[in-house]
Amino acid sequence: MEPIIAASIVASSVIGLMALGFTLQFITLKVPNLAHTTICFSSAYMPLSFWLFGINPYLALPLSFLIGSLLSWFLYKFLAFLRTRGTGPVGQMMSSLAFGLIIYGIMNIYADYLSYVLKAWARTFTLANADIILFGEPGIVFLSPTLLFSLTTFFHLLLTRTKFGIAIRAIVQDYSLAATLGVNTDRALGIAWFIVGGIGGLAGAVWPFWFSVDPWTGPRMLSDIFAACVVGGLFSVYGSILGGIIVGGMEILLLWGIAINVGVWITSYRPIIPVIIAAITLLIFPKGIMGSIEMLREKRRK
Amino acid sequence: MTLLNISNLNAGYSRIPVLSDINLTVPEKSICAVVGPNGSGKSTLLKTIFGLTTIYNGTIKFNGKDITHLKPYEKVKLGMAYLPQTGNVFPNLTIKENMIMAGYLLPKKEIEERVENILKMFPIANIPLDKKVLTLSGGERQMLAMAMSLMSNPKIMMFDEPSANLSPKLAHQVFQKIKELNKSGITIILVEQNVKQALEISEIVYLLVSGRVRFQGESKQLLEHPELGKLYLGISSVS
Ligand SMILES: Nc1ncnc2c1ncn2[C@@H]1O[C@H](COP(=O)(O)OP(=O)(O)OP(=O)(O)O)[C@@H](O)[C@H]1O
Ligand SMILES: [Mg+2]
Repeated sequence: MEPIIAASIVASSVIGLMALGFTLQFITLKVPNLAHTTICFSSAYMPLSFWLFGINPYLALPLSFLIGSLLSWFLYKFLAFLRTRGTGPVGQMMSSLAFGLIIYGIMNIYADYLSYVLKAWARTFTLANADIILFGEPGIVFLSPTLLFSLTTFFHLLLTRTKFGIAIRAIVQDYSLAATLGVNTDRALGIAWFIVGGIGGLAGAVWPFWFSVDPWTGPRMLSDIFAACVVGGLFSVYGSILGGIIVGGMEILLLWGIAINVGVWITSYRPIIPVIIAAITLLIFPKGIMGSIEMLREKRRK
Repeated sequence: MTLLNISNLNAGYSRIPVLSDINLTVPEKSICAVVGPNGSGKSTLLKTIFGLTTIYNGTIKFNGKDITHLKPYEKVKLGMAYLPQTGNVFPNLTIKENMIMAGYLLPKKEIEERVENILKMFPIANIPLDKKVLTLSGGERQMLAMAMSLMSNPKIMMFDEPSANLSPKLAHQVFQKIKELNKSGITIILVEQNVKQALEISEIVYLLVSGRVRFQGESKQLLEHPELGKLYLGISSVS
């Protein structure tokens, strides 16, 4: 397989999964969680640690899930606490940013610790050499889309087929009515954040099997997630997954296309690409892809 | 026996006080009407009983237990149900999903049974369960909302203007339904603009004016009161 194709498959899958969590968090608390990508990529240090200690890095994935989910759950609790104290959405958003920066700091400390103990350079790393080979291709090329597909399906079934999932959709529509009917809204949202945080943690943990990761990868990838959500339509979980797939893949392909025509120096402008993709999408679909589909449906209903 | 007892309650929305010094007693198995002009705090009173506002001081007791600071879901567990004035259904969920939400605290098997049995009691039983609620008419939604509030098997039900925006015929049906529910042993607090009908089906009444109890007593008394009825409720005195 062309490496460029493989790279876009991995990027599409990972960004799709991260966008899922970001959107769910956004529609439940009405606050953009600026720490989301940082939390997701912090879990990437688990497979690295396993590898450095001579264990198959893939075995670290459950632990990565756990790190993502626990951090996400903890952040939810913190934001919910701020809310009961009367902190508004902007204050909560800034708090999520601060939370992300704390994790960024811890990641740096941990990376330095690894470097110190194992004499291995851990601030920037990739696990490309640690990957298994399946059918002559790196395993990640199969694993990442499988994760995207299965976790999206799992999430869809959770939302539509279970009482808990119905409750989450109900809370998103009308928080106080859900509470009135007997839903422990705080607990339900806590669990939802736990699950999508874990999904994000998994996504972050598979990223280094193809690309490189450093403590700043998370904050840097925030623009991709924003773009994915804008492209998909800000209020739809499914839309944002689709947006993530589009933005993740297009970014790699566009970057490659421009780089071979214009010069490699252009790659340092990479974070602008998702923004451009989002801008162009908005020109064609003013409400994002899902928003526009929804509008078409409304029209047909009338 | 007293089922709900409120004493010296002051409450509002964070720093905006609305209710002052409310004392209210609801006997078991009664219908208690709460009436008053627009903005007098009727909805706020129900929300406060249910734990959706800020309580500055005072106590609320249900069945002898202090519930002043319990969370809404804990109150549902104790057997309280509240039907809000607006936004009492989830428009983007189906009828079935709405009913499941309303029975959230019950075991799964019981939910299935109750959904059918309860819907049967209302004139919306023939609408497919997987229909989205936003396609229902206002009257149908109100019926669904009432059905929903029955799901949790409540001891007390609090209705906030259940007849608002309904045709006289539907409104009549709603009042009949409330009477039936009461006959089956459920205590009812009824907030209404339709004062006359509310007073007709209720035994006791509280008149709220500017967040204070201006009158309390038997419903008949208020219907026949020489000034209050005219002054606040647009009832011309019977005689
Ligand atoms: N969410 C809120 N935040 C702040 N103030 C509120 C809020 N809801 C109501 N109020 C205020 O509280 C007072 C009482 O309102 P409430 O809705 O309880 O009146 P009501 O008696 O139910 O009136 P209506 O008959 O129109 O339904 C009003 O002055 C209103 O402006
Ligand atoms: Mg009201």
